[in-house]
Amino acid sequence: MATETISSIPAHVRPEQVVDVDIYTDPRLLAGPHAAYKAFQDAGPDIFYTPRNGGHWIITRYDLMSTILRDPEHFSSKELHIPRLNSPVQFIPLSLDPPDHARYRAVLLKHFDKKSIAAMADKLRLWADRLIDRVQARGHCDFAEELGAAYPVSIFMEMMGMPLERFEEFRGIVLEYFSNISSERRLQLQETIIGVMMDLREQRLKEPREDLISKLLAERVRGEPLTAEEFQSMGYLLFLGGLDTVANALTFAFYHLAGDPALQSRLASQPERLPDFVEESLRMYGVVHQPRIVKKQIELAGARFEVGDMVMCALPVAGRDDRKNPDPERFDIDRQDRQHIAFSIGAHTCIGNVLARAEMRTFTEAWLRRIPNFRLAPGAKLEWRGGSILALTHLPLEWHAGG
Amino acid sequence: MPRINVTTRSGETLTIDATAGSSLKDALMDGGVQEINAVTSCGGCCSCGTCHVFIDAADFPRLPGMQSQEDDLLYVRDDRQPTSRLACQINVTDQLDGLKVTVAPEW
Repeated sequence: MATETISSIPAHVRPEQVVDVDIYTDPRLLAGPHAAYKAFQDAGPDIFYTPRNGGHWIITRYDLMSTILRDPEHFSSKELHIPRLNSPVQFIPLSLDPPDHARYRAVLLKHFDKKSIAAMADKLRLWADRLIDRVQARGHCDFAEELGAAYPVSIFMEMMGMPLERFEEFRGIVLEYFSNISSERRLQLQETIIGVMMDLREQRLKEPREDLISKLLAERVRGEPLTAEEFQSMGYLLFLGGLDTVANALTFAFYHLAGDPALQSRLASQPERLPDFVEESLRMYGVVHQPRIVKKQIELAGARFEVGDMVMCALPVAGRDDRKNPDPERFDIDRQDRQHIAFSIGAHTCIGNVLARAEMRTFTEAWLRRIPNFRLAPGAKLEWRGGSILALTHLPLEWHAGG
Repeated sequence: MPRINVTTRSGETLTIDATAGSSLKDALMDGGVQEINAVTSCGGCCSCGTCHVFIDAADFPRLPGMQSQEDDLLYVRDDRQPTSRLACQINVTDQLDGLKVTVAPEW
C-alpha cells in the first residue's frame, strides 16, 4: 500500500498544525467517517497537516473551504488525487482551472440542466420500481449494492449509453479505484477506464445513438468537435463521477432513515417534504472530499501554503460546522437556512447535482410508498470506506415482507 | 447608491438600492431577488450559468464587455438573447444607476 510511509513535515508547517490522520486507514474514520471528521473539526486546528499519503493539509471549516474552492489563482485542480497520482491524463473539465474550464463545462451543463433531468422523470421512477421489485418480497436486502449503487449507476449507464450487462465489471473498477490502493494500481485502472470509454467512442462515431456519449461526440466546443484526448478526459471523469457518488449519498440517506421510524412515517405521508430530507441528508452525510494543489504561495487563517502542497477540503463535514448551522448534529428536515457544500462550490460545483437530487428524491418516494417501515438488520455490522470518496460498503436492512 | 430596476420571473418589477463594488448577482440577492441564486450555484465563479439575466437593450452598451468564460457559458443556453449576461460577472458601479434587468427563466 502506498499509505504506510510517513512523509517528513515540511519546514513551513508548525508542530501545532500537525495531526496524524491517514484518510484511508485511520480506525476512527473507518468506524464512522462523518463523526470522526466532526471530531477533528471540533478539536481543531481549522487547518491541519497530516504526514500520511505524501503529506497534505485538511480543511475542516465551511468558510475556509469555500474560500479555497473559489480561489483557483492559488489553489489549482491540476492534481485531484491524494496521494498525488501525477498522471498526464486530465479530468476535463474538473482538473482544468478557469478560464479553460468553462467552455468544456458548458458542453456538459447542457445535458445536466434542470430541463434535461426533468425529462428523465419517468425513467427515474421506472428504475426505482424495477429494483425494489427485486427485493420487496424477500423482506431484507443489503441496501448498499443492491439498491444504493444499483439505482443511480444503472440510470447513469443507460443515460451514457454504457452496456448494462457490464454493470458488475464497471462497478468493480470504480470501487477498487477509490479504495486504498497504490498509485501504480490506480494508474492501471485509469488505463482500463479510458480503454472502455474510447471503445465506446469508436462505436458511437460509427453508429450514433440517443445517448450522452453520442451527444457529446456531436457537440462543438468553440466550433470544433471534441478531440479524442478531450473526450477521453471527460469520459474518465464521467465514469468515476457517475459510478460511485450518488450511490454513497443514497446509502447514507437510507442509513439515517432506517434508524428514524418517525421520519419514515412523516415522509411517507408528506412526500412533498422529500426535497428537505434530501438536503438535510446531504448536509449531514456528504460523500466527496475536494483535493487541490497549491499553485501560488498564500497564507490563510494562520497557515502558510507553499507551491505544491496538497490540500483536502473535507466537504462531508462542512455542513456540520456549528459556525454555519446551529445544533449541527441534529438531523432536522425543518431546519431553516440550511448550509452545505456537498456538491462543492466554485468553478467545479458538481455538474450532476440536479440529477443526484432527483434520484435521491424519486427513489426515497418509491421506497416509502412500498416499504413504509424498515430498520437496520439486528446485529448488522457497518463497514465504512475512507479515502477521498466516503462509502458505506454494506447496509443490511429488513422489513415486514407483507408490506 | 446605484439603483437597479428588476423584473422577476413572475413579471413583478421592483427597484433595489445596490452597493457599488458588489456583483449584480449579490446586489439582486441582497435586494430580495433570491430566485437569481440557484439551489446549487457555483457561488459567483462564472461556472454554472444559473444567474442569467437579460439587460435592457438601451442599457446594454453601458456595461463593460464580457470575458470569454462568460461567453462560453452563455453559448450553450438556448434562451440566450443579444443582451444576455451572467449577473455574477457584472460589477455594480455608480455608472450603472438606473440599469434595467430581467431575470431569465430558470434553467
